[in-house]
Amino acid sequence: MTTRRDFMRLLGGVGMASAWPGGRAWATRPGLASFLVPMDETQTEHLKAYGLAFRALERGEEGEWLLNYRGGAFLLPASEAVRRDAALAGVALVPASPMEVAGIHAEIQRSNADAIPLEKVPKVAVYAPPNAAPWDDAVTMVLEYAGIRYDRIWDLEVMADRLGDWDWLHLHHEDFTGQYSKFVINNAGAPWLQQMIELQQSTATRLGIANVPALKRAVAQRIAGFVDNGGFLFAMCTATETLDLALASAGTDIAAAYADGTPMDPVAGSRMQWDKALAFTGATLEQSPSLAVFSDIDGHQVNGINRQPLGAFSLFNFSAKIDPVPTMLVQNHRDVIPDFYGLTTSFMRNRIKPGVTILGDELGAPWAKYLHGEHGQGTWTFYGGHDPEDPQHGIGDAPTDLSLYPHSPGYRLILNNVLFPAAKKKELKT
Amino acid sequence: MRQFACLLALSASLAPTLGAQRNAPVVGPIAIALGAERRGDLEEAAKGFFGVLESRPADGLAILGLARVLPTLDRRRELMAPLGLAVHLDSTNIGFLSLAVRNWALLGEQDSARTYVERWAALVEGDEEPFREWALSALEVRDRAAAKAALELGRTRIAHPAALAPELAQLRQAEGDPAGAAAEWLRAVTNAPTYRASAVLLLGTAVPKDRPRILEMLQRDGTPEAHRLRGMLRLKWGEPEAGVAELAEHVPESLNGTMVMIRLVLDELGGRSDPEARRAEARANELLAGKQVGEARVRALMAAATAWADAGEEREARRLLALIATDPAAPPGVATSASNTLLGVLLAEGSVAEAESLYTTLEPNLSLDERDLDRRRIALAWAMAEQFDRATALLATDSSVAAFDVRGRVHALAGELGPAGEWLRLAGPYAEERLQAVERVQLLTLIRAIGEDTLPAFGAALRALERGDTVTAVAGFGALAGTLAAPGAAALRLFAGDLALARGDTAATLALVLAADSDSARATAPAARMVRARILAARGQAQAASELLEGLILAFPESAVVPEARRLRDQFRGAVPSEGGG
Repeated sequence: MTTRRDFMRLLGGVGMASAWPGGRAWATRPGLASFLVPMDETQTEHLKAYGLAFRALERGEEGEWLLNYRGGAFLLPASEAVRRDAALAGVALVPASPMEVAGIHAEIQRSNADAIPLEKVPKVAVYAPPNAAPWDDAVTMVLEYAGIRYDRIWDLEVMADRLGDWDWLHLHHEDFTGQYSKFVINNAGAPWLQQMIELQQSTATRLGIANVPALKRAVAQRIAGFVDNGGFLFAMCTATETLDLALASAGTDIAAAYADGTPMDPVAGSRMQWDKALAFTGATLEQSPSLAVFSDIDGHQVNGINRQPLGAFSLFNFSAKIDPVPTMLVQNHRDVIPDFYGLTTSFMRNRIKPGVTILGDELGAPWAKYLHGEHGQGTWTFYGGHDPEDPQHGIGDAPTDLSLYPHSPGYRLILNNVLFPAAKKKELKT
Repeated sequence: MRQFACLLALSASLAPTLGAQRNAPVVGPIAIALGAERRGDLEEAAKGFFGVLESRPADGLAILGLARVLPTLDRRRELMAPLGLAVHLDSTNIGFLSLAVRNWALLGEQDSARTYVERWAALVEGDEEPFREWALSALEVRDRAAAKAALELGRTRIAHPAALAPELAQLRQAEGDPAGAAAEWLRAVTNAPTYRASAVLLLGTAVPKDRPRILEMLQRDGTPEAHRLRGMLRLKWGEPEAGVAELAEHVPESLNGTMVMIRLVLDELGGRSDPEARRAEARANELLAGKQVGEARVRALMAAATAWADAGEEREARRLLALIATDPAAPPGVATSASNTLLGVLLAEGSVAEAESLYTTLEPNLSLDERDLDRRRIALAWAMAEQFDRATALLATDSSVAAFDVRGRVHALAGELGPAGEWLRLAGPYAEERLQAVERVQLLTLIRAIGEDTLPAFGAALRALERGDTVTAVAGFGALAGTLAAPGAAALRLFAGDLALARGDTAATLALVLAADSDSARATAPAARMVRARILAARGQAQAASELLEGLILAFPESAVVPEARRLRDQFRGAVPSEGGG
């Protein structure tokens, strides 16, 4: 695994777009043109365009990610393989001669844009139960749709300390407090819930761990260790909030009696060790075992008595040359995106640790939607909500068919995260 | 509902008590108690009603108030002492007696209930109500034995074979005695035919294993009423024609009785559109018509004819329509409607000359739009009968888009592709119905791809297709394709392949679309490959299908089928949920 710190060191002397005016080696070969993959409104298949870039890297081809240029366009070699792949996927390409590429780079140099080389195929792992369908998870759904290869891992791989085999780890709606998303009381008897409980309990037994909350906390700690060692973590929905709750609750019992046989410690809130959490601090825990709410980190409380209506969130406009990492994560053809619920939909500003970068938030609201931060040698990104194109998603809803949303700006944010580890760039923090 | 009925009976029986107060405002302690009840303060209300009874122990309003309030407070038993005193003071008050019967039964004190039933029955000799009230109250506390005893006592006392029969029928059915239930219902219906609907409704809920015993009992009884009940039940249990046939043999003598019975039949069949139900409906309407005269008879015949036609029984429909069309009692609208339906039947039968003759008779009474519509229908029928000149002649004065479309089709049916294409082009891509427009455009596209002016074999195959003879049509188009230049041949093979696929002949489809996938027919090849890919996928050869789709997308990037091909490929590789969920 190449850590984030490694590639910063390796690239310490490499500058921005102006440092390689001709672009990468493939682009400087005389007579060989490039393909520009525009990512603005002219693109016919935004989501599959990421897959196109990913597969180019898999074939050993290199490219550039043109941050803030035409919606975060890609520049790929004008190879037959790229042309064929784009045609099959329906991705729009614009042939560009070396002269035109030089013109693009010149324009990038003059504006709040940057060209980031893409040269490493990220090894992607998705943490999901073995029996989960791809349609249960927005990330697996969009990875499948875009055609990006990934491995599915779960507790056995994590507990066997195999996380180092991957660069990028995704978590979705796992409940790291080990309370089965707190669905137990209100959905008792539902076959899917029974199946989930049986699977989790048998895994804990197999690993010799006393109960599911203890297992999930151990998994959370290993995931934090993965980030600490330079891994890239991306989490959505409940995984964001519960990961931090699990990490911070190392010395106390925050799980309901149905999960570990003992009720939640009534003073658990005062025993939380927030310094161990990645993003949040000072949250108040939800004591009711029947309410599918974990704490006051989530601003929308979709299953709580203070449920808030959905609005829209805006992406922050970062300086591409100075803050390339957050800039990569917010590349989009839309600045304002309709919000969508999840068990954890958003993050209250007053619960976010100082130093965390807010990538997207709802203007005037007390919550943010999209966060990024560092932990040890790695980074993490948290994105609230369950499915960007199914704002009211409920248990048992029909799966989202992404071919109906090929331009989804909400899904693009997920894919920015997938390609982010492929990019190599010297970091210059503001 | 039953409680509502009970309340009505009670109010009526307490009327003498309340009569004196009818025009006087309710004041004093009773008003205070009623006010507390309205506020939901039931304890206070009960206290108030008890207070009223201290000074006026037979006060109907106070007794009724306690009867409402005390059960809610789980203090029903406290009602019984003041109620007993009220009955003692006003021993002929049926309202008090019925309250006593009901409340003792609900408290499980069936002996006390019976005492009051006897006193009530003595006042209303021959009335079923005391026994029914007791039985129904006992059933409310699930005391089926007491309910049965109440009903059987009632029948003995009233000494009528049908006394309390509907209640006993329901009891027998609940006890698992379907034949006994049927016998009781039969008694009830024989005594009062208005019970027939209830009998059919409740007996109709019998589980399938009990049904033969019910039908056997009714058959054994053999009375006309037993057969009527039997017929209705057979109709309800999936034998509509046999049921109506049984009813037809036992039609009530009175017109009213017949109409009520037929109305039940029609209600029972309502919502069913399968041919057997429609035939049964037709027979029932004919039965009704046989009992009626004048306009009512005509309307029943019209309903029967429509049902016959819907069932595909054109001969039967035609028989009735001819009767209506010539019936002087038929109102103009009905006669016209009948004639139009008859016209359709004749055309469907292929009796075009007869249809045209009927149209000539009808024409003066038709609106302009109806005339044009009928002429177009007859024209197409003439074309199907290969009388193309007669068809064209009928359209001579019609300059509507629909007429252009029919002219094009008539020429196509004749194999005159040149003029067919011209008329279809003039008709354009729009029509009142989208499907019709799509069909027209498809036909026009095919004709243009063929590029020939006259092809009688094309007309023959198209006529076979219009007759529903797909086998002949596919063979005809396939054979014709062998004689044509590449683009036309490919288009015709693709068209024939679609037809073969629609009837499930995938082998023929594959052969045809494979032949249609030609480099010299670039307009047809992508669609032909799509069909092949779908067939391969249906056979479980997703990989081969996927490769075929890739070839299609790369070779024909501008084709209109490419988005569909991409989506199908995504489904094969699991990138999107397959149709019907994930």
